[in-house]
Amino acid sequence: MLQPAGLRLLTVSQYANTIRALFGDAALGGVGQWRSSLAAAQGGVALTAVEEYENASRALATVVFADDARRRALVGCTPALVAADPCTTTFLREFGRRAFRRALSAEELERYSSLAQESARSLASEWRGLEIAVTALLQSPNFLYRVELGETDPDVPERVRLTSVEMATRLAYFLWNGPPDELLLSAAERDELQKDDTLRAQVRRMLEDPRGRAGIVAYFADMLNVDSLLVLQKDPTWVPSFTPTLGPALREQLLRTVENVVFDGGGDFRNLFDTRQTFVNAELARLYDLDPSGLSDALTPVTLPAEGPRAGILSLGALMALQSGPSDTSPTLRGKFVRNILLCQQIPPPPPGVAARLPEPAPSELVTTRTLMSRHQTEPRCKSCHGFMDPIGFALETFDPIGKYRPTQNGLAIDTSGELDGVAFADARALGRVLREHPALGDCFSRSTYRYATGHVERRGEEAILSQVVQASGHSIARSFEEIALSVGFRFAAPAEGIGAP
Amino acid sequence: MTPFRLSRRALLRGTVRSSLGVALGLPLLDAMLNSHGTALAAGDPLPLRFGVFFWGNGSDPARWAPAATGADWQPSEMLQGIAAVKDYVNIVSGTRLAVRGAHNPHVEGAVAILAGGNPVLHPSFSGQSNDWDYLTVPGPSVDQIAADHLAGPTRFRSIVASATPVHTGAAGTSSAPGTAISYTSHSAPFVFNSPKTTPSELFGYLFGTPVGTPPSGPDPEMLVRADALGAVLADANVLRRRLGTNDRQRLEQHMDSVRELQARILAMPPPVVGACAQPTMPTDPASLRLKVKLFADLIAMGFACDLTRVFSLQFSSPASHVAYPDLFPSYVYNGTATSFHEYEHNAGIDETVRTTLKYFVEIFGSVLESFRALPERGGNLLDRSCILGTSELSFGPSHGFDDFPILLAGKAGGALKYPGVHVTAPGENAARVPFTALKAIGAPLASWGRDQLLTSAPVAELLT
Repeated sequence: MLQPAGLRLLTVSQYANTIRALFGDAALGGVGQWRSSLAAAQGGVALTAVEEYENASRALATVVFADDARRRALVGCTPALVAADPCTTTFLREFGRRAFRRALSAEELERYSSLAQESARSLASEWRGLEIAVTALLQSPNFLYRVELGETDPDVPERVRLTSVEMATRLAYFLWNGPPDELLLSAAERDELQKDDTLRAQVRRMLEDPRGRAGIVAYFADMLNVDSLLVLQKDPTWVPSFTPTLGPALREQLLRTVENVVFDGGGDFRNLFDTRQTFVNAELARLYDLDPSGLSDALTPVTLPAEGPRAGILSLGALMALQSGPSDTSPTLRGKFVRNILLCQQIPPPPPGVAARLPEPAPSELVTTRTLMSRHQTEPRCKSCHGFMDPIGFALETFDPIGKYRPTQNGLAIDTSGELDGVAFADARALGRVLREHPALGDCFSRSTYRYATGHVERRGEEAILSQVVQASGHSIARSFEEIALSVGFRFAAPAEGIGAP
Repeated sequence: MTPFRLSRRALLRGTVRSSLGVALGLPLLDAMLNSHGTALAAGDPLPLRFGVFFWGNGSDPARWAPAATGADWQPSEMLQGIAAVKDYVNIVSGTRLAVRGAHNPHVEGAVAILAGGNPVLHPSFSGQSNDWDYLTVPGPSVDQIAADHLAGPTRFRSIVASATPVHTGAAGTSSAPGTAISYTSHSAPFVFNSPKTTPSELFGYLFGTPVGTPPSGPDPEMLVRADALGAVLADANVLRRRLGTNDRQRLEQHMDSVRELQARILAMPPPVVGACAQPTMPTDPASLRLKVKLFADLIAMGFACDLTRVFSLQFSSPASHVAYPDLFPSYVYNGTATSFHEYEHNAGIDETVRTTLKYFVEIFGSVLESFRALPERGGNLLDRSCILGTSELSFGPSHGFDDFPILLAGKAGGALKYPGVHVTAPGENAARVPFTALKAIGAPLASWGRDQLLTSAPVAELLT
């Protein structure tokens, strides 16, 4: 009924957060193979990523160890080129424990101490010896992966339970998107993360910690794929108001809006779809036809107008820009996003050999995208899938490829009306209200959080766990995180196949 | 059944582990330090090379095949762009790429022609079966199989570059095979090589350590880097014993790459022979045409210097979700600019689309010219290269797979016909052409591909 646990590569953001926790202000963005938590739990590491890891760890260690004040602050003693140098051993034991999120074995400590001392001799520098050992620790699989293998559960021998120390890592990356702190790691070393009461106490502490805010926001960043906004490009001829700063600002706005709903607006996930509380800087204010006077580059809280065209995260520029082409909107992409990501529903691919050619209007007779795509809704083999997607997107056609409001297209009025699974809506805001009450929404939210937490897509045998989570969470986002962290699916796993094979 | 073969990676694993495992920090690897040796010294055989050039969204099958077969073919409308190098180009027309129609056609086509199989879905992604992000290839792509066979002691096992960004949108910055063929340049499912995306980046990678640097004995900085990786490998060796089969394979693939990097760090710079010379740092141009030219020039020099023997160069991703401003400021349809992909779906094959499809082949022609421009022992680099040029489907508007566009360029050391011939193979499995390419470089394979794409029959008319 459960699935095996195992190795989970740190995602790009987890790697950055872990480096920051180890070295303070050191910033290393964009390093790693996978951004998605699910992909990192299943995917491999290619040579190009191995090269990135090596470059990043050397660049970082060089900077830290070239600075006398920084290296002394990090190491806390002065290494010497003597046999069994106590400073080398002490530093590597302590730093290694933080890097591996567990105590080093005697063999590991010996390995890294030897590496430091041999390197110190080769390079004629004790400090550089430690620098080389640090570069190696940061490339070890014990650092780059979360090692969550479990031990046989004495109560249910056919499953494994994560050890307390493994639970510390699993909890920290789930709830904080970063490594465990000293409190959590020492609680784990006291074996307190397998018992319900002490586990729940830690989970609550973590969710109340500022890192808990960042952690839940990181989940939404993963689910909504918002890091794509950092590299988003639009056609400058057709979307001239798109600037290199707009994508990152839209990403930040979306995440701040989510954070506001989760932590400052009652934490009901349904409110994500009709909230009017958001954040804008001067550029975003112009995008949303709000008054930019007095605004700078920094995001500032704002309440969207009660009679305005938009409310909720769906109609913010971030999702509208992501689910569009470089210069045109795509009702299909936008509808597919709602089906796949918000409602956890799947749409099959287009059948092979179908000519997707649409009627070409004469330049003098330009039409709306909805009219152009009407064949999707009339031809049965198109409609069987597009009927599920395009109407949702039509409601959002009043937002251009970066989410700017446009009342007309090609001089024609835009028809935004439609229905979602039998409930009619008139426009984007009404769509948000229908979506917030959609019966699949809450189930899908817990489902995707569970996938994020455990690193796999649930199987049939886990449905009972999910129902319990959904039931116990109500509409609360934070509660859903807490219930998942306490659930059987998070703390136990099936034994992996093939252990010990050659 | 996949024939057993001992990969270069496996060999590398054996040799490096035995030399390094116990030797942290000791004088390292006499064999490694000489590993580059004198492969290109006068009189020794020259290496063979392999490349893949890929463009997205096919061609126009009605205007693809030349009228005549054999060596007397003249470029068709679609093939005008290779007229200048036609002696080096072989054409197999009329083949069909058999895909299953279970996933996105662009993903299926790319995986089929480059990896000879159907996209696979990781078992853990059962709920996401239609999402590009969770599809992968069933095995290594053709360039990586070639690298197993050809890379030998070269510093870079293969070069992976892309002229256009992987497209954003539904799949975001995903690394799925629908967005980058680099995904298919790997050793196993869910391991993909990120492409170098600018000429300056590729320059730094290939030529950051200038060619021609005289060996000055072992560099202690390099030795400690290699030692650090030795500690990483030792950690992995302990960890692997506690893992299940799936994770053990993931970790071993990861460590194969660590060993590969370690060997590169210890390798000496290759000797400068023939046309090999340190290139100048390029300035990244706005034009895609110029960008590909710079990529090709750098890769050709990498071949001449024997830094690498294999490349995978993506002009555009499967589906061509980009515009081509070299040709048109925008692709306008119904009053709005769109990507080439959307434009072709909406408009069908019109003059704008035909111009663009011809441009794809012209870019391929310019890549071939870069290789022809570098002399090597009385000939040029194309004489000892085998370069596959292809796309993921034959006809964009309907996602068609009949009359598949595929070209095989270079003499491959005399294994391929010269001057190049045009062969018709109506309805034949298109995977026979990549298999022919692998045979031409002497890869010891009895067959290639899986399932409905499996083939053991190279296109005999192309081989000498």
